[in-house]
Amino acid sequence: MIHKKLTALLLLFCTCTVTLCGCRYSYEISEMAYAVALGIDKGEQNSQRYTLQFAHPLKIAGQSEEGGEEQEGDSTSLISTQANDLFTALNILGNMLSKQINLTQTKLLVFSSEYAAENITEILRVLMKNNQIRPSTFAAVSVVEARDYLKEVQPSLEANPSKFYTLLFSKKNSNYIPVTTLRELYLDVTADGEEGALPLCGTAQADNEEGSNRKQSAILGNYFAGGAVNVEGSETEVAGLALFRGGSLAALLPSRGAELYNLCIGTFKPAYYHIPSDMAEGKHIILNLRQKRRPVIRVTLTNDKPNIKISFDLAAQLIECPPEEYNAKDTAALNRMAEDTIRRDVEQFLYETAQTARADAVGFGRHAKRLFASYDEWKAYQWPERYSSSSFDVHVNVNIENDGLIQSTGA
Amino acid sequence: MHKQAIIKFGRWESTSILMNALIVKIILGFPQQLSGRAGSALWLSSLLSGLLMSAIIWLMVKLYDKFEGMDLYDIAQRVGGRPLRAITATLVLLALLGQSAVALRLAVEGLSAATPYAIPPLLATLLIAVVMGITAYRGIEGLARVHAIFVPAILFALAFILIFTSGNYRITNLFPFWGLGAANTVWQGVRHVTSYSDVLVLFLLYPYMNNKQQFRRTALWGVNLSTLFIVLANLSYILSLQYPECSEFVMPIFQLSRIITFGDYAQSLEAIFLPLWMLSSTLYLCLSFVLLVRAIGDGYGIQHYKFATLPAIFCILVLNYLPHSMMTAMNIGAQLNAYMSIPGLALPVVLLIIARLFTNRKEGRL
Repeated sequence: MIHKKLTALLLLFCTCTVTLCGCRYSYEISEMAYAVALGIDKGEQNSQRYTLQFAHPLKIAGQSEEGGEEQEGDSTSLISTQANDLFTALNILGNMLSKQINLTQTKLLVFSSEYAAENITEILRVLMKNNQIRPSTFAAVSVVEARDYLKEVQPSLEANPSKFYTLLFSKKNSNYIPVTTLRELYLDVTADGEEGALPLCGTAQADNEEGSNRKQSAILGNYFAGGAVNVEGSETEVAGLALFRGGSLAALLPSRGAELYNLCIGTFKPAYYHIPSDMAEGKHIILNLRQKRRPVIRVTLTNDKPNIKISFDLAAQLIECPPEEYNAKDTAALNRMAEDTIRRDVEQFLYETAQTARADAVGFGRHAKRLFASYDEWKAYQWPERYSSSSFDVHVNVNIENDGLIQSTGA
Repeated sequence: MHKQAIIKFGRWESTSILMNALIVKIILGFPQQLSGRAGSALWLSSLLSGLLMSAIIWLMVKLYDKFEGMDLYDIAQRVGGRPLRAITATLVLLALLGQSAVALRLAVEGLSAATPYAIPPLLATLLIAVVMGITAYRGIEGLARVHAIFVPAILFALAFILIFTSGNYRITNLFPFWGLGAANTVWQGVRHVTSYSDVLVLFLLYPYMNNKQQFRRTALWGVNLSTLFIVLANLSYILSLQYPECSEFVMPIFQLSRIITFGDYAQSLEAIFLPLWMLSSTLYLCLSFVLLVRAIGDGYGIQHYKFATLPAIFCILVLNYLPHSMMTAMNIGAQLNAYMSIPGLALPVVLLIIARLFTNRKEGRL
């Protein structure tokens, strides 16, 4: 009996070893071409240009601190083709390469602004349903061709391009771009009460003397990707906000727009904020601003017109202040000044996005849905059309907690 | 009348069996189907179904009070003699045959869809079929023990997925509150009681339980705990994925597991989902198949019923390949749920009421 059981166990073990743990369907890492970024541009004759950026694992290992033999050359390479859809492109590119294309390590999707001006909802749906592409993949809009952006990217301070993109687009220390993943973009683009927003990326441009206003704005940290002044050491930039409406690109906003967007959706990271001085012309009060809690949003309808109330609760450190403005005993005046400035900025941002771009980037529509009993009633209200006639009531509370003798860097 | 089963198992085993039979539906795609019909009120409809089912099971347990140790076939025989016993067995057999075929197809297709490097579906199908065959041959005892070990693991994995997706919840996804309308929400709630039809296993396994207290506790705990998991899974799904997009994706629990991340780098935690998927569906398939083979023996009074194992496996394998796609299989599964509610919910209630009336008359109460 024991012998029988042992034989049965051994047979089971052998069967499992052969059928379940075999190498028949396994793939070696060295046989894979891991794409770290996917760029999509508008192509000729209703087609698209798909660009894949591949990582070279051996070169990454050679350049990393962990060691490995030093390898010459770039840690990434680029390949692109024009095709009718992503899967045809993958077929074409897969046919060219010796290795099998794998998208499981893709960290960045870049759409050129020209391509994004058309409807991207379908490609997002396709990508979301693909089991290789992760929902947490970052997405961005390039102000230049996506292929050109990917060509110019030189991962600096980080040898691993995958980690470089993760660090760059998850931005834990800056508000100059929104942090948007494929999943969030897909949910926003397909929602009836919110529109998508993506970070802008681009290649560094030569300084343009004609655009002096833009230059003035850029040196105060308000610029589009590619518009920073006299940049050295980086060929690419990320800054600004691409706003969608119904799945199509509706407007591009500079980095200040992205800051205000982050503030409105409650993802504002502690950062320096410039407030123009009332008394000293050309000078600024600099605050290290921190969002204490997510903004409180209330949407009501008056004669079918949306009235939106949004309240911010902010804390700040006073970093720099012209002597004319500063009275240590009267921080209330500074608080009021900061509140007025931020309120004006937010109102301008909200009216501009509502009336010019006609896009509910903040997602007020999601809050408006509470006012409807059923989905049919909500659809009949046609929020995307009515949003442009919204009125905004912005309340800002700023509390300067100290004058920054010991300053937190905010990062 | 009925034969007392020699093998008995405890409350933990019986509750595990019942819970897996009910919970496997949410793993195989129930939230997606319901969300298409109930909209953002998906959770409300499923809560209503759960509450209704709790009331139904309470009623059934009350009605079962006088029939300790009797399975559905025994009660059918008491009401209508051997012909009704055979009819009941046929209804159960057909329901289990259809459900097993669809569940097998969904389990294998789901496994292929969820893994980047697909396991050959034929190999997976054959492996599961072999396991089902061995289980039917070896009997229910081992299966009950395996349930007792693995169902807690399945529940733990499910709870893990539901808890760690909470970072992606958007409360506003719950609005409009009544989804596709208040009346529709209530109707879908009532209609989806049929998704609890697998409670049938409880009435087929009664002879294996020690006493009526165990049966009562298994029924109430099993149904109520399953309801809790089903409602939470539906709630998590709608909070993570707004309507109408939530009805676009198959394998909702897999979709939830894909969005779990810890920091920027710990991802791909859907790996948890694969054992959850395979364990839950394989246990369910084995149980259905064991009960199917036993239906032949118990229902028609065939002594050497285990000889039916191979033909039954063959039938399931043939039926499993009839739907041309996973979506067709899911739609057929939804329709089978409605049919399954005849032997699973309607028949036990009717038989129990009639049997109770007979018993009361015999006792001189009527």
